[in-house]
Amino acid sequence: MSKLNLVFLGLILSPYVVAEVPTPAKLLAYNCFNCHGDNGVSKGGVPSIKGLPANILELHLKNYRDGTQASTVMGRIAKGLNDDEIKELSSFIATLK
Amino acid sequence: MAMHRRDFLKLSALAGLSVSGCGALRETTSSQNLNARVVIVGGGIGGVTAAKYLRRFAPNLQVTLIEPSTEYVTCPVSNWVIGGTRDIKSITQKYDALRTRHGAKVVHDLVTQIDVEAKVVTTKSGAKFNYDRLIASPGIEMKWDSIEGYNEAASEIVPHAWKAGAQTLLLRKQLEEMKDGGVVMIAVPANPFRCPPGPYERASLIANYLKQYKPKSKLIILDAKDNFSKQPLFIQGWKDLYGYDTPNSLIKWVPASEDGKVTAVDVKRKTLRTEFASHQADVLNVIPPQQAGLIARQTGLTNESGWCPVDAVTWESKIHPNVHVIGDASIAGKMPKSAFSANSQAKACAAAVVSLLQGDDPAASKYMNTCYSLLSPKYGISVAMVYQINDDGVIDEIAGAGGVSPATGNKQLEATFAENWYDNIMADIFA
Repeated sequence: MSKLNLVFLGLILSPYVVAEVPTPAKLLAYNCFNCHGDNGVSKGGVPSIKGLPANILELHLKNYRDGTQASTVMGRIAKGLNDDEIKELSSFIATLK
Repeated sequence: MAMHRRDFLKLSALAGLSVSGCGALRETTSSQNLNARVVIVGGGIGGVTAAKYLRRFAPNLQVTLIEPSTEYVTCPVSNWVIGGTRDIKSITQKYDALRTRHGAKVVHDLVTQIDVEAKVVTTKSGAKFNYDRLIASPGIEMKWDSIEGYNEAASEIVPHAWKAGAQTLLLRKQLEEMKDGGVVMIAVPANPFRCPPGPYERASLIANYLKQYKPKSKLIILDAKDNFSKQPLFIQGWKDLYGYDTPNSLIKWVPASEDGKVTAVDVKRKTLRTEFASHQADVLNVIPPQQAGLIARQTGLTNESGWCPVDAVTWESKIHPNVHVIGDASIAGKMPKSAFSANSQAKACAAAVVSLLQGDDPAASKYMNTCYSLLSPKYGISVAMVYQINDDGVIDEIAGAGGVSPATGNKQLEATFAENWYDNIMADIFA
């Protein structure tokens, strides 16, 4: 069943509660919005991240973490993330609409 | 928004197929979930973030946020208003998007009682709200009279300015009215308190104002401790900008070990007393010791420390079930009492509340914090950390992660990021 149909079914059977509980890695992605803006869209010099390709995000985060890419704050944050978290949160940010 | 997401979970599959409003089914768990109600007490950073993200994670949840004020003046960046580089309107946030964009109910009233047995909240106007789960984000209250002579009435003359709004403007006004050559004094409490680097950012931005407009003036920090957040970076910045450690230094910092702890205030004479001395000021700012907001204490959510013990995964109170406490009022291990912390906690708490309402076990997540401080409008520094829950169930720093800006860091870039951070986190919360 398509997602749209699922939601439509939900409307027919309203109130039908659909919920998505984010995984721990997705919750980390939501923490990115604190600096990178609402849903990943920044209002200023900090770059927007919404919808960036997952492989690019993953590469940058790993480079920040390993120090091969210079940063002001990202290196300090990326050092708190493991490979699996980086992969999942990057994939999630890439899907943001 | 929900339509674009993967991993749909039904909050209540059985209830979804049942007839809406069927009284006979109301007592079952699934039908309770069908009409699950979450009440949020407090419309600050934690409360508003929780409301928005609850609705994002579970769009049909009934979310009611109760907050007396119709707008929220943020503590973050209020030091910039005190320093005169930003106006208060630019740090005043509204609740409109929470209602119109996210579908939460916002009630402007004061919560006077939380009945944790009946799961009912009562407000000053007499309204009652039932809840399945409650999230309290009550912030802080001053511990009046813990410094002799400093109570709520005294704060109308000598501001604390540790809750933003009228207090912020009062301190700003007093600085504007002070003569050149005056002495500004800031009394700083021992840990823990809201915004650990805040007093030192405030001192810096007041010094920035004095340097430009009242250069014969001095600023003295009387501190109840010997170390403070980002201390080496602040000291370096004060040397770079305000002549610190020279005879002409604009800023003087007096640690507890050098008789810095303030024990009494005479607001009429504008004097501070420490154990061995009395200090005369022209403008006084007393930041008193703090505790969890009043409703948390009235509800018995606090322990002997004055703060609220909570589960590090769900933020559920260790004292009263079905009540969660986030933000400055909570005991959050190594996380500082900051806006970023409250926001990070609120998102995890929102996820945990939805899990619990579904009957699932909430998963432990990591947390983050980043705090920028300005030492002048073009000189920024930061501290960042990622946290995890350790084997004892306590939130701990991840070894090797986080830390402060490097001494050789780009201060101007971090000042720009500080401003971006404010705009972006406020959009994440209030837009």
